[in-house]
Amino acid sequence: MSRIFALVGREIRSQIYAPVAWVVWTLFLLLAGWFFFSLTYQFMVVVDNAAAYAEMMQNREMLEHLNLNELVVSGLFGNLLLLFVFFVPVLTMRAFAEERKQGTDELLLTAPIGAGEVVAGKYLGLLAVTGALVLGAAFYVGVLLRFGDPEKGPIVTGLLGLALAVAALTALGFAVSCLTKSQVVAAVGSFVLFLLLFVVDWPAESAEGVVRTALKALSLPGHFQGFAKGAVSSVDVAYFVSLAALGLFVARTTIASQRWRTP
Amino acid sequence: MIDVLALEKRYGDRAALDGVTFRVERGEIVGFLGPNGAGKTTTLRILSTYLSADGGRARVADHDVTTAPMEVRRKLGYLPEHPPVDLDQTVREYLGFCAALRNVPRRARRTAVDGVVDRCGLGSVAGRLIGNLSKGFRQRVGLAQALVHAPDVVILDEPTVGLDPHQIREIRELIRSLAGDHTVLLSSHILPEVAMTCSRVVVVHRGRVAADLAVDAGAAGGGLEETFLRVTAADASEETSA
Repeated sequence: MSRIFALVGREIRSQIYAPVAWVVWTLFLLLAGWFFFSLTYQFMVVVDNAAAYAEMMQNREMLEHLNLNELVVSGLFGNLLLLFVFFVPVLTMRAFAEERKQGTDELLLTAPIGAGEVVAGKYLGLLAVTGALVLGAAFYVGVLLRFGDPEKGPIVTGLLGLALAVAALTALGFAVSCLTKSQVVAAVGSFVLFLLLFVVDWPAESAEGVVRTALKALSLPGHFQGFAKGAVSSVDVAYFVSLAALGLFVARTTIASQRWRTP
Repeated sequence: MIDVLALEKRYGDRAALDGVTFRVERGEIVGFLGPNGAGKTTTLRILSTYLSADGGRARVADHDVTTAPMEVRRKLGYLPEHPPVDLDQTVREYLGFCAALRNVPRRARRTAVDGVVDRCGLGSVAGRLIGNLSKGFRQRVGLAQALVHAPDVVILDEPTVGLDPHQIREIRELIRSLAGDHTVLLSSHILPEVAMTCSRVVVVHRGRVAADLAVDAGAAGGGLEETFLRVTAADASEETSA
């Protein structure tokens, strides 16, 4: 256990001593802020127009249909998910690729620590750094709660969905980083993988039968939608947990088998 | 303490090790010599459990490297060819991490780190980032890492590479001070170096042991060089003709 903690501490230290994590966090907040601003601004304009129209029609009930959750919160969560596709690979790219490059894998793989422990320690450390992105998202939602009156339920489930998505993407990015020596290859590889998961269901509408089902079952935004609208389904949770488990399994297998492959 | 029998390793078609056999007794300091590409690093990597062997067997600290790698790792201090240091951590942080990784209990870690910082002459740089240190200091941090948990067996792959003459002398003293408590196997291609530190040398050549002889620390430098050149001569002439 103390070996895992040591690895977690080392991972977090090495991330916050390097500028990459700070740059990613800052740019994430900047872009998330822009999304947040444009959505709330659109909402204000829509509300203003609707108010004028409702007055003209002498029908106040029309305004009841304008929902802050639907128009701002749900959209914001969807946008943030897309940002993760871009930013998580940058935070996970060095995970194991850099160990290989610097030769520190030789330290880890000759220490009395199993591949499972190495994966657990590094993953938890990475999660602290990528999980901070969810906190950034929570900040903007907090602004809405302070100045507006959205429903709390969908906000909680949306943040839960983001957290699950980050956990899954971090594990997958970690796995890709285990497969190469180059950070750039790791970043591009994870980015392409994530983007593919993001768009995989685009042809689903025109497909039929099992193909359609399969494409929809793989879709990242498809399984996220429910969370953004306030519905937690066990299928969606299982999707993210399975992706995370798959990533960690690949990482563990790659690290454990390194000894048997010719360098 | 180290028992290697007919070890084989192939990289593709090329046989890197072709039946390496030697023993190192408890408390001995043995030099592992050979021309570049003779198979020194490959052998040490197999002994450290970093690589698998394709044939033969190797035991370190009474455990087989293939069937009981974790037992071997618990007893082993290992400095790879490139010191496996974290460039973005301070010397003290890094050594603390290595101690934790090697099961040094939390309460004993500070003492263990202070001990190796002192022994390896790292006192003046203990708080600095390893990435900002010179090659010589990084090498010493790598050495400290291999000793922080007081292992039974120490395997050092070219411990003095990149050091200046003063540092080489300090490291030599340090390695000599390990005799008795620790079993040391160190690779090098600097002959006087080995002659002064080791009690015995094993010369590998083209993946085989070409010589295994005791070093008489006094006048052995010249004799060792003769032997080395003689047993590795075939390689040199073949390489030039190739």
